[in-house]
Amino acid sequence: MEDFAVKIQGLTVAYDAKPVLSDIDLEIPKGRLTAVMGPNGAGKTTLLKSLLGLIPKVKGEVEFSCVRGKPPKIGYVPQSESIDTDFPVTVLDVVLMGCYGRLGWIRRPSKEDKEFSMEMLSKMKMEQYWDRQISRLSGGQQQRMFIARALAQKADIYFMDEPFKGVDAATEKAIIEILKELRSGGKTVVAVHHDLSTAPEYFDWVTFINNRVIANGPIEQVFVGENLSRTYKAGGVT
Amino acid sequence: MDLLDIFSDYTVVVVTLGSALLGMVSGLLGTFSVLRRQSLIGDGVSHSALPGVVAAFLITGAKNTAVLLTGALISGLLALLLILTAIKHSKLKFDAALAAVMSSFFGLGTVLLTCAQKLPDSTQAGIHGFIYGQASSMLLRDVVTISVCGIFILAVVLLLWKELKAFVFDRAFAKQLGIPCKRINLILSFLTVLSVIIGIQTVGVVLMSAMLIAPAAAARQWCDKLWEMAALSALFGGISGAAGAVIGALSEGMPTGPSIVITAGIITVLSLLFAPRRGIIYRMMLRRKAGEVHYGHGD
Repeated sequence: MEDFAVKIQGLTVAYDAKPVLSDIDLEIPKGRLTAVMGPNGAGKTTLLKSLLGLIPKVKGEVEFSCVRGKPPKIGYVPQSESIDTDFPVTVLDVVLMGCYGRLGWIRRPSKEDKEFSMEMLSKMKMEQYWDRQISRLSGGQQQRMFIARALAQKADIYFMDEPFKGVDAATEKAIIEILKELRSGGKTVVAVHHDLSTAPEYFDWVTFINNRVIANGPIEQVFVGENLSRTYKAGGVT
Repeated sequence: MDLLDIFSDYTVVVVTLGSALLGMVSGLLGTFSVLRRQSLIGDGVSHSALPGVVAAFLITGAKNTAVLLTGALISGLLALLLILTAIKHSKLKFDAALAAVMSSFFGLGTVLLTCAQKLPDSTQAGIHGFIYGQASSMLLRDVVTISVCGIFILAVVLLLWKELKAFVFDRAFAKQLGIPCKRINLILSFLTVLSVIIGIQTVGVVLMSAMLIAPAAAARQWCDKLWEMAALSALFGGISGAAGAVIGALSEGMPTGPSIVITAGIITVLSLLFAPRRGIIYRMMLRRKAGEVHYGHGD
């Protein structure tokens, strides 16, 4: 068995009385690109959010393995439609928020934080838009900005909720390059992914869920017809 | 009174100063209310403050501002708590819960006012002023109260600036960063209630929410950064407060509170019309110029 980045045991999450995730047992491997796949309403976003501690769990254990003896730092790319793009912030403002977590109370982002955030923006080929209000970006540019913000978190594990949703081809390519770069740097990436046709090419590990875990393993072993049909036909909406 | 005289008049200077400070404080906090799409929260709190004011008067018999505003603060916070509890434990949406609580509290306040009016002497005279405000009765003591609250609010906003910014912009991300969102939410709500309460004596419970919303809505038109919006909103609020007070002093019988709100309203209308890029006129011209060219975003 590979080293795990996250180990989940008996995780159950419910909205009201209806469980969205029941008894999830899962090990997400360290240093790999993991796709979380399943039909709409399968609990993919819920899984991410409960791992991040954003929503309470009914029961179960979530264990993150330490990195260099410390609990891992976590980066997060939420679903892009969850924010108000008319908010008065510029692209650099948003990326700087990635640095807030290590600043603590009262302290403001320093010159170094700003330089680092600009670097992350240029990684995503977004540096020329640094001073733009965010509604004047295309959907793909907004997504690149949110990934730059997650990069600014200097994390060990990145959770991304549908990073490829609604983006143009150039952005998709830029994101894939970053994911590969993160993997070569030993980072772990867990992404909710929808596109069955690109999954085997982009990711090297896949977790199929539909309320419970259907299959979990290396993509070349697990991404097979039987698992796909069990995932997408097991009472899902699609 | 003409323009030169009024600034040598002690009362007018006090009222102008107090109204300007008030406008600045509520303009600053209104920025967050508008961006959180909770513009009606000020309305809810201010209307709900009325029974607190009258009850404080009925119980203590005092017309001391501090006592009355404490009553207002208690019933304003109580109403807010009720609204938040209703949303949390029922399927009621924010606007429905707000409307139900606010009108009930205001109704109760009106009933209590009627009771107060039945008191034998005319001690209740000043209480009515809380409905539409009575800026002209502002004392130096009140200006000091407004200043102290204003400095407190400004200090908290500055100290928690990045937490507030992250929280209001993207709550899920802020929570993931480890920012205690529930606490930040409580602090922000408390500051908003406080700014409403210190304003109701001047502007009145009916119009107070305009002091939060109008300057912020106007400021949003002119800038693309949060600190710019907050600063401009405070400036617009301050100008409205001062201008309203001067109008009230210049013209006999013009009520100050409504004058302040009308000034803020005019600034808002002008901003909505004439601001570059976001203004209605600019966008109409842009559309005409663009003709059939598709108006999209990005490059």
